[in-house]
Formats: sequence, C-alpha cells, structure tokens
Amino acid sequence: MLKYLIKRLIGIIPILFFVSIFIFLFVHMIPGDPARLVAGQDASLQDVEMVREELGLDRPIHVQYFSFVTNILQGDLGTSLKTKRPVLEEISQRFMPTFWLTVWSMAWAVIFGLLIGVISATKRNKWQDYLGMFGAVSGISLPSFWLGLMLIQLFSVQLGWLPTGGMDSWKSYILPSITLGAGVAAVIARFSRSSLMDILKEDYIRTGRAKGLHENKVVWGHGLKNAMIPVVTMTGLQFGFLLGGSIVIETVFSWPGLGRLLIDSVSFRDYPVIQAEMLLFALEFILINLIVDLLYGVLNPQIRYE
Amino acid sequence: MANVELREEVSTQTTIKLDKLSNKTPFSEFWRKFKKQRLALAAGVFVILLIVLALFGPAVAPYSSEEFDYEHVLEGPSLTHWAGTDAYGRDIFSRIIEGTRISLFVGLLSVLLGAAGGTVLGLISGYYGKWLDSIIMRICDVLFAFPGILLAIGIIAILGPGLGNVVIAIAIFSVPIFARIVRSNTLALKSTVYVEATRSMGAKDRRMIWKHIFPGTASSIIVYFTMRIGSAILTAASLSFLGLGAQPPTPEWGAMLSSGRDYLNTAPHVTFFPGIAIFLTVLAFNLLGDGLRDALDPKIKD
Amino acid sequence: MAETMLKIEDLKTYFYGDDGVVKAVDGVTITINKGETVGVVGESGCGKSVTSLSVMRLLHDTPGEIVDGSIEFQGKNLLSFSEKEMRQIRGNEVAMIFQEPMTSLNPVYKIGKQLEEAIQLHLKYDKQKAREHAIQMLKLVGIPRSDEIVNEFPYQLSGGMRQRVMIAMAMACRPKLLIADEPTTALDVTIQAQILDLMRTLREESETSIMLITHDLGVVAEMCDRVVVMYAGKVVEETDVYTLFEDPKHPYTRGLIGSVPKLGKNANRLDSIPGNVPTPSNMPKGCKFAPRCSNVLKVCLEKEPVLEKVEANHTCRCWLYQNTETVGV
Repeated sequence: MLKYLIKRLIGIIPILFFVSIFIFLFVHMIPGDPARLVAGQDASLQDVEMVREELGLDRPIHVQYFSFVTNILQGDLGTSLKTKRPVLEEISQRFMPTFWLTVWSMAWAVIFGLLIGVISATKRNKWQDYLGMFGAVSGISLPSFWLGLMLIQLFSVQLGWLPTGGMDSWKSYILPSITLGAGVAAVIARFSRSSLMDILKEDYIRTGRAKGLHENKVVWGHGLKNAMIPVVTMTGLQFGFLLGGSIVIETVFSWPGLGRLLIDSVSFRDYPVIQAEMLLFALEFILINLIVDLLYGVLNPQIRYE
Repeated sequence: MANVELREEVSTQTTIKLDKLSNKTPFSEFWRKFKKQRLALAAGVFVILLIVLALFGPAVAPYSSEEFDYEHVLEGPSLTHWAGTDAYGRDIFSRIIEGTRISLFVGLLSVLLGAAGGTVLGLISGYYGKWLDSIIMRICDVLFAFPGILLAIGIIAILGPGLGNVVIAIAIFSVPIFARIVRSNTLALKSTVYVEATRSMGAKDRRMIWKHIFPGTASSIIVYFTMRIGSAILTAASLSFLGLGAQPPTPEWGAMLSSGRDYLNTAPHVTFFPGIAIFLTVLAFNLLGDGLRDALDPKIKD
Repeated sequence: MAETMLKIEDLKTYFYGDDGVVKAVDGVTITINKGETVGVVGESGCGKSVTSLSVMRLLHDTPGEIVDGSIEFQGKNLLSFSEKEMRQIRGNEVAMIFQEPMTSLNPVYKIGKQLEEAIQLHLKYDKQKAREHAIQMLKLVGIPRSDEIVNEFPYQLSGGMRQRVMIAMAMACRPKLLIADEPTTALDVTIQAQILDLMRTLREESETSIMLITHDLGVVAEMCDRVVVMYAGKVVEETDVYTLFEDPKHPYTRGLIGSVPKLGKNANRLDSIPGNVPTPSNMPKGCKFAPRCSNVLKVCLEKEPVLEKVEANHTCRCWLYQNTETVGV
C-alpha cells in the first residue's frame, strides 16, 4: 500500500509542473499588455513601466516563471485588480461555501445514483430498469441552470418552502445541492448499473447463490463490493464535473462561492483572481483524484496488502 | 459406402448455410442492431427534424424573432402564441425555432473541430509513440485537470465573450477526449496482424494511418461524436446563460433563458420553454449516442 | 434397492433468445442413488451444465427456463419449491463445485468469511464456532496453515488451493448431494489427480452422492459408478462404468472413448469424432448425431430414435439397436 501511495504521489509531480506552466502562460496569452492592464487604461506610460518592473514583467520568461512558482508556494497569489485586496484573501472567503455545496451534492448523487443503478441492474429489462435508465439519461441531458430555476419557481415562489438563494441556513443548501447533484447522480446510476451487471455475471456471484445466500445479500454484498471499485474511480472523476457545475449553479442561487467570484472576475477581467481560481480548481481536482486512487487501493485487497 | 456419401452431403449443406450468414455487410449488421432500439430510432428521427428546423426554421416559424409587440408582453401560452411571449412581446415559440440553428451549429462545429484535432493527435500519438506520444498525452492530462466548463471560461476570459469564442473553447476541451480514445484504438489496431502485414510490405506511414488505422477507429469516433454534441450544446447554453456566449437579442436558448430569470415570479414560461428545447435536443443526441454505441461498440457484442 | 437421492425426470430447460427457442436440455432423465457417483459426460454445449444448474434452480443469469419435467430430491419435487425453500436446500443439502476455481471465489472477501457465510446460514453456528468449523474444513481438504489462510484473500492462493477451498465450502454443511461441474478441468494434471483423490476420500467418509459433470472420460473411469452420456440436450446412453468402457453401444460414446489416447496401445491412430456439435439453429431433423456418425443409416436422417433398453442396466438412443417394430420405415 505504501509503495502504491508513493507511486501515486510521484505521478502527480509532472502534472503539477505542466499545470503550473499552463496557468503561468495563461496571463501571457491575454491580448494586449498585462502591465497596462494592471496599471489601468488611463495610467501614464511612466506608471505602466513602473508596474512592469514591479511585476517583474521585464525579466526573462523563465525567471518570471520561477518567481511565479515561489510566490505561489509562499501563498502570494497577487492582488485583485477589482478590490485591490490580496487574491488569497478573496478566495479563502469563498472556498468553504463551494466546498460544502459540492460535498452535499456529491452525497445526494452517490446515494440516489447507486440506488437507481443497483435497482436497474437487478431488475434488468423490467419496468424499473427502463424507468431508472430513462431518468438517468434525462438527468444527463437536463440543463442544470434550468432545473435550478424551475425548482426555485416551484419550491420558493409557488410553495414558499425554501429560500430562492443566498446561504443563510441549512435550508439554503437543499435546492442548490440537489440541482448540482442531479447530473452526477445520473452518471453514477448509469455507470453503477453497467458495472454491477458485469459483476453479476461473474462466477463468484453464482457461488454465492449456490451457497443459499439471499439474493439481496448476493447483490448488495458480493456484487456491490466488487462493483464499487470502478464506480469509486468514476465518481472521483465526476467531482471535476461538479466543480465546473458549481460555477453555473452558484450564479443561479446567488451562492457566495468560488464559482460566482469567477464569473464576476471574468466580466471584470480580473486576471489575478481568474488565474488563482484556475489553479485552485486544478489542484482540487488533482487532490480528489489522488484520494480516489487511495480509495481504489483500500477497496482492492490485492493493492491494499502489497 | 452410401453412408459416407450421405455424410458429405449433409456437411456441404452446413457450409452453404454458414456462408449465407457471414455474407452480411457491416452496415446491414449495424442497421439490424440499431433498428431494434426504438428509443434511439425515435431520437434519430427527432434529430433529423431538428436539422430540418435549423435549415428552414425562419420559414416555418409563425412570427419573426424580432417582431416586437408591446401590446402583448409576457403573456402565457395561448393559441396565438403557443409558448407565450417575452418581455418585448416577441413570440417565444418562433424564437426557439430560430434558436435551433444556433444551438445545432455551435454543437456540431465545436465538436467537429475538437474531434478533428483530437483524432489527428490521437493517431500521431498512438502510431508514432515515443516522445511525441508522451508530450501529447501530458498535454491531455493537463487539459483534463480542469473541469470542462472552467477551461472554457478561462479561454473566454482570454478571447472575450461571444458565440464564436464559445465554439473555440468547447472545441479545445473536446480535443483531449478524442485524442485519448483514438490513441487507444490506434495502439490496439497497430498490433493486429493485418496492419503488421501491410507494414512489412512497405506501405508508407501516412497511407498506413489513413487507409488501415483510421477506418478502424471510425466507429468509436462516431459514437463519441454524437454523445459529445449533446454536452457541447449544454455547455454552450450554460455559457450563454452566464453571459459569456451569445448576447441578447440573439435567440439563443441559454441567453433567452437568462433574460427570463427576471420574470421568474410572474412569467415562468419565459424560462420554461427554452429550457425544454435544450433538454429535448440534448436528450435526443444522448439517446442516439447510446443507441449507436450499443450497435457499434464491439465490446457489447455477445 | 438403494435409496434414491435425486431423480430428474423428463427435464426440459429451454433458452429463449433473439433467434428463437434453444432446447438446451430436452427431456433428460437421470437417477442418482444414495452414496452413488454418477458421471454426466458430453462435449461442451450438450446441456450437461444446464442440467446441473436446473437442479440447483440457478438459471438466474441465463435466459433459460425449466419448461417441463420434475426434479425430485429425497422424494420432494424441487420445482415446486419457493425461492425461500430453495435457498435452504442450496449449499446445505445440495452443494455445488464449479469449473473455474480462479474466478469462483469473491476477490474482495477473505477466504474465512466466504466459508463462514454458508456455515452460519445453514448450521446456525455463531461467529466463533463458524470460524472453527471453517478452519476444520480447510484442514480436511488438505490446506496447510488453514488458521492463517482464513484471513487471506483468494488472489494469494493457487488454482489448486482455490479449488480445495471451493470443495471445503461445498462440503462444509455436509451435503447429501454434491454437484461437481468439471471440478478438475481448469487445473494442472498433477493437481487434478490430487483433487480427485480428495473427492474420493471425502465421499467415502461422508456417503455423499455425487453428480460429476465432465467431458473427461479419464475422470469418469476413476470416480464414477454409473455414467450418463449426453448429446445435444438428450441422454444417448446410460450404463455402469465398466460396461461403458467395455461395451459402449452408441457410436458417439464409442467415438468419445476412441478419442482418448491410450498408453501402450497403438497410439499412432487416434480416432476422433469429425465435425462439431450442431448449432441450435441448425439442428438435424432425425438423430442429432447423424451428421457426424460413422454408422449412419437412412432412417437416422429422418426420424429420431428413442432411449431404449438394450441390455439389463444399459440404455441407448440409436437406430442400430432399436427393435425392428419401432423402426418401421
């Protein structure tokens, strides 16, 4: 297990390296002069040059990259062009709301996705299967922002049960997390169905039945424990989808998270914030993949004990 | 002696029957499997209908998409306006019909560009291997480290908002998906005896790739192509909804939906109908993609 | 007359697929007495495995369905049993060993747990006692360090060891009938001999009846009292093991025996049966074996023979031995 862990950790290093280059170059791809952008449209030429020196934009590109990385490692992500506050501060305020939103969404998605997937797999080609799978393909095809607006219309406007947006109480979490989780639940349902269907054809499932075990024990015990190995891997990848989806959903529900900050920053062309957000999202995604790899190891005895 | 003759007769009959069975063309084989899936077939018909609407939309639509009517603002669905009217009194149904063209065009074009780029990279990566392969695959890894829509937003942050840039953004994040599939198919095909034989006869690399390897990857490309169109349309609509894609008064579904948000309390139909249009279109492409996969993917063959 | 353990009568198990009905088992009758080992022999696809799965009522992941016949176990018709009653039979009074030891154990559960499941379920032992019994069973099937093996996963064991575990699992609740579906086919020759030895020892100690499904006549000769030969879903010959090898009647049986290489005899000429088992869509009209038979008659292609007694304790389904009245063509 330790060997496996170390191998995974080493595997991350090149990706981190390339991601950092990508994000570093990102700002350099913006058309126009970045120094002019930071200084402002009506700054004098002299001011622009001063900013250029201050930001080190006059130095050779590899030196710039090096100081970019050292700054990040020291927690210095630059200053927001809009609020003139350190980007780190801006972002850290917004981190937890998005974090909890994605966690809750994932919780719904896993519970409902697995339930639908397992029922569909065991009732293969029966009405439960057709209903579940049609529901799942619909879930994948639903525009999440539309689903969010329709839920607001029904539960907030018509029925008045839940708030339309913001993050004031636990009630505020219900609609955004369901909206965000729906698509992922659909993906998990489809994947766990096909994965479990493959597993249920395995010889050891027949062994379980031949022992006289109850069908529920065969499916939820012997079947699901094996099917979970690929399902967990796929679910981890869906976290990326969830992070992306949160950008849209936060706008719909006026959620004070990273996603809405990103959209605001894009319309304001607040590049340091955009850059930092992209870095953060990428790091989160890589971290989640690492956790998934570890879970994979925990679920698979052959890796766990070697 | 007679016995032996009889036996031979029987066995020739068997061979003839087998020949008849294997005489099917790949297409008829595909069609035989595909037509069994009624849902996918219906989705295919719906997609054709959408394409017809995209081509002849404005001619079919009952009103013009830019026809203002301040007498009838934010009216609910009625016999004259099937999907109601928006804040300017424009007929929503007609605008949805005109929006078909935009959504299909954006979806098709972006995936086409992404698929073309990804296929070329995947073929090169899989066929030549070595350092080219590792570089291309590392780039794909990096692009995969960003959730699709985030990458698109980043690209739009550089290029600026607009439908054209949305196409480019979606095309870019579709590239690694196709590159990976085509690469793995290429690797598998490269080692087959058939390709080995052609190679030892001295066929040129380029000819090898296009004549022998590319056709083998075609079925997975078709399946992924169809499935990606659905998600491309969805992403494009999301970006327009966020104000980063099509801008009003363009009758793009996501933009229409976004402008309807302000009237959610009083006139929910303004957001409802464009959403249904997006949903049904994406659903049709996804169902079609599922059907194609089941009919084309050899892994699911018994 | 010995006590009858299992009586399969006129069993018909059909598969319903896209291309119509496949008669996988088409009117099979097999009787197994207490303590007796009956071999069911035939090429793959002849319906022998489907017969065994029908007895266990384990056709779950096949499109198969038992359409007719009866399966009596100790005088009770298993086909009338509810799923719940069936579960009390499976793994308890009737146990099964499968062909693939490599894939028949669940890779994510420890060996001990996989054994204890059945023990706790059927023998109602508590966890502690079940564990002791599991270790005891593993010792019985000759697994060294059995108290450690219970805490290991299947991937840590070799194929032969896994099959021993499967046998331990099957014998754990002292079944009255053991169905072994090609228990040695996937194993090396030396391991095969060990496993057969083990099964013989266990049979002598427990008086268990065994239904041994195999295509290997060597295994039949070593293990069985009586043999049923199946072809294309039907029984074509049945007799005791000595008669089968000394005086086989059906051309198919003769072909099977002829295709086994014998040491010392003229090993250069190896008789084998030409052709393949007919595909379901291509079933011959008359005798199913006619297209491959070296003694084919005119009548064979037109009418199917019935299973008839050719001697005391010997039945055969072939026109060569049918009474002249029944031929009548």
